[in-house]
Amino acid sequence: MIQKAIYDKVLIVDGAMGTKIHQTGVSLPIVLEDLNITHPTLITAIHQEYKDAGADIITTNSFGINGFKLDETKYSIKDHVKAAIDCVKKVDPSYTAFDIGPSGKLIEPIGSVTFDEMVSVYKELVVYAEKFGADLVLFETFNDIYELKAAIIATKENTNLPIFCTVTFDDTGKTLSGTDPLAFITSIASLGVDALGVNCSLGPKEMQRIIQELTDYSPIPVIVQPNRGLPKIDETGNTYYDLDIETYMEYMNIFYQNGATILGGCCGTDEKFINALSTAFKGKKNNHTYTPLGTTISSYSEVVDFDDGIVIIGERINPTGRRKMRNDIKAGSFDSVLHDAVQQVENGATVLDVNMGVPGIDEVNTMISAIKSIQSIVSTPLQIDSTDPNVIEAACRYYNGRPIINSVNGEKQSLDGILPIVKKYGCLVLGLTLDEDGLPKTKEKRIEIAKNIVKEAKKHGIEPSQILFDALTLTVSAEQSQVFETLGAMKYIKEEMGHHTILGVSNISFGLPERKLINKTFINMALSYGLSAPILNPMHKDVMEMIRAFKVLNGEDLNAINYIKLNQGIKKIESEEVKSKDIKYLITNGLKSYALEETMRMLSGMEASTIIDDIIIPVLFEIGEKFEKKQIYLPELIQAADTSSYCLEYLKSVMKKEQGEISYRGKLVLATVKGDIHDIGKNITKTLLENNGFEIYDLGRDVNCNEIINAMEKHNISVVGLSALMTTTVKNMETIIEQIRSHFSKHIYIIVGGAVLTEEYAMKIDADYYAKDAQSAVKICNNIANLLNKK
Amino acid sequence: MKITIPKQEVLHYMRYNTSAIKPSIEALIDALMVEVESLNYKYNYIFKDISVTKDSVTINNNISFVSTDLASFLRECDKAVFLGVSLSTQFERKLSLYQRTDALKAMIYDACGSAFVEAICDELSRQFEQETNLYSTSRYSPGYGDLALEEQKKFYRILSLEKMGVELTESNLMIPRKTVTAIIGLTIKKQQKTNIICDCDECVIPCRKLYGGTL
Repeated sequence: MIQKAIYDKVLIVDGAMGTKIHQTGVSLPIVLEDLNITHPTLITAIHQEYKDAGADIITTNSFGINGFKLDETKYSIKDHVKAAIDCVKKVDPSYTAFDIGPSGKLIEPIGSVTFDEMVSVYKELVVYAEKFGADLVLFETFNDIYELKAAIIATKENTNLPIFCTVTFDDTGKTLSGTDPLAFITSIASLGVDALGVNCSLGPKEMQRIIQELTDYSPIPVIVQPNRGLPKIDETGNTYYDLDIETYMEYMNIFYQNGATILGGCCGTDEKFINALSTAFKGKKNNHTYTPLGTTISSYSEVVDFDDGIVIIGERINPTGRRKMRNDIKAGSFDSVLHDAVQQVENGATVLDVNMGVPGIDEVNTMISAIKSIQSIVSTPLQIDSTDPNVIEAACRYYNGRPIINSVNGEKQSLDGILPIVKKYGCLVLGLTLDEDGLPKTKEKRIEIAKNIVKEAKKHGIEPSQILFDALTLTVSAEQSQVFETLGAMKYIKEEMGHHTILGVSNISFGLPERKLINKTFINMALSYGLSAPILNPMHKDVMEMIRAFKVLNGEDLNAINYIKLNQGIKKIESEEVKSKDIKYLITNGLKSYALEETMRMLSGMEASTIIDDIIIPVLFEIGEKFEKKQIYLPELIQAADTSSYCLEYLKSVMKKEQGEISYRGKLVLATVKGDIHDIGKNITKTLLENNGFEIYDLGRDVNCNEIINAMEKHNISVVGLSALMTTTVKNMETIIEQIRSHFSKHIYIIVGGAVLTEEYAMKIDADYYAKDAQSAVKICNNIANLLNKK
Repeated sequence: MKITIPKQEVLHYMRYNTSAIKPSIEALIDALMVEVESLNYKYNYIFKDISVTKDSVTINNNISFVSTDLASFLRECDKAVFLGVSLSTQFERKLSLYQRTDALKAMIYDACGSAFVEAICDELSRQFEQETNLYSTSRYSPGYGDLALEEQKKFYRILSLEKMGVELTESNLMIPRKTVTAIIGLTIKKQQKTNIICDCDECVIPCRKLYGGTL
């Protein structure tokens, strides 16, 4: 059993495969793994050399093969996996590791494949690997821990294979997707892999700091497989590695002293290096002590450790009692969710709570989409908030990192539903101190429930450090004596039981005037009683300021460095000159906050619609004309458009409140066509059109024809704007136009734009208009609106 | 290696062809250039012997590119280097954030990204010349002239772009968007470096610099 062996002794892994194959001089096929089938003796001979050199673990020659790449090889995955394992098995090593590299695809929203597609591609590989006798699977050279998560889940769900995984860091100390060693450990070790580490990309010298961090913090054995130094080029242009074995071994010795116990090589190394490793370390006792992960959560790039001080959990991403967010979510838009995500982070939230509890929606899929959208723009770790275990499970699966679940409670049904998810994904969970009997009145009963949750969690193999508690706040106006029951229970749970504590505070002030004041005072008290993480609205400045001051007083903000930094410049000098300028100046110069202030000021004496029609639109019109006359440039146009959209958004929300509905000049669908991912131009056009009173249904990029037709039918739209940057995708544009024309019996107004298009070409592919830039799109849409209104 | 983004190039990508840059915009450009320069990036290159006929280029006797334009471009060379450079997905994430929060920032950030990738390519080309004592041609990429975009697949394999965290989509585009692959010829004769993309009558793709730079 390798799972036991890695805790007993040092194990040696083999070295480079590609380097060795090149040395044989064999004519290289496009897919190197074909050699397992066409030249099995050659591959087996390499494995034999490594085994003879002393490697305990021999890895298969299968790095680059997976279901996404089958069009380049004539063999099936099954054939490939079997052949790769057979080549190793012939040398009868102690352990056969089935080697898997990154798939070559990225997961959406950045890439084009879904998480589940990724899982199924890895599933195919690992299921065959187990079937044909691999002893473990080695995921290596990964850049993206999200893809690695998919690979691990595929393996855990479908096989019993032990899992080793290594990623590559570059000289910034991060993976290409921005993950540092700590975020890697937190996100990946929590999923229950058997060993983790680093390979490739750097030589041993450059890896030192990374390995130190891995060995310091990893709760499981650490693998180190460096390249033979950094690559060099000779005068004929060939790449070579020239680090000598002695130097290589010097560093490997440091890594071993640090606590790395699974040692091997990567690019440029050969059997001589493995032999040196084996001579020095093979079979040595593993004396390293491993520290558990602790109460930490992570995203792909950020780690929050509750031991490090007060954690601020932002509560705003919750549609309860928030009409706009609720309506947005219902309509499938995450605009307000993302807006709140960014704002909360900018104002100091270190974790974001995400709740998608809107009645009557598909909460599972909405939660998945919300998490993907939020993670595509902010890297703050998330707290998944739902009462439905299905929603929580889905969220944990698609979340990139180690999340915290909000929540479990002492009821049997809740424990049975939530704890298995906590175990499977290795995440944290927030325990609420209530059970079948409801919310207890006493401190003692709350503590009893907490203890019971810990006991039940233990049965599932969940560590106490994975559980945090909320001792539950009641409304002070109704039950004044309860305040100290909550605080007392919290203090006990923190100090006597050793768990971190979370508290949602807003309930406390319900029914009282000046609620903020009560909330703020209560947070202050709770922090003194040992609250680790308040759940609050970070937009409440004075609360955030109070917490910053608290951190000075409790010693967390050492020497008050942060406090001083933030408060020294707090009295901003208001530029009287800027303040006295009119809205036109403010918009033209991109002074967003001043422009918004001025808009609010104007609202006291004017209708919102008058400000839009008589003031802002004429300013925009003038700026547009200047752009056409080349008196100003695109960046200036964008700056003005963006600033005015800031004001317009506010004015529209006022109008919506007053009138219920807003009337638009017209509406249209916008899309970057199938196959194209360049959407900057389309986005600029969208902003300009919105500013000019058009309602836009933006379908994004890489959009196929059906999506466009569906949106047009659903919203009864007869104007569509298409963009494409590439010559190749202009052809898709032509097809889409053809299909739109044949689908609708009425005339559809089609506007096209994009770098490679010309007026002539636009006409040739049967578009109605060619928009050479965003400003001309506005003109065209105004003309169409006039035409349609006449009809 | 530390790469500095040439500001002129950023302005070029932004089509901000003026001597009177607005100070507030210039300050933003300066700040975002620094931000992009601190991003991590990845590159890979591999030298290959090539044989060139009238309408094809073959590397190591087994992988061929059928293209008259590429063949003519490399006619003086018997060696070439395949180059791949990619900004990390961090760039993509940050760009999505700016697209949500500040359109001008998004535009500048995108331009900085394009200029950064090109600057990395330029620096690597200089290094290839130094290390091999040969002269390099400019860069030629799939999609230029009659070299089909589908040939990106071969570039992908040759350069092991999966190790760089790059995806090739079904339509042969690369993600992250700020990814460049190219072949650079190496010769003993100094060559006039032609701007392949700008002033070429036959080229189906107009000036890359004008149109976003990430073809």
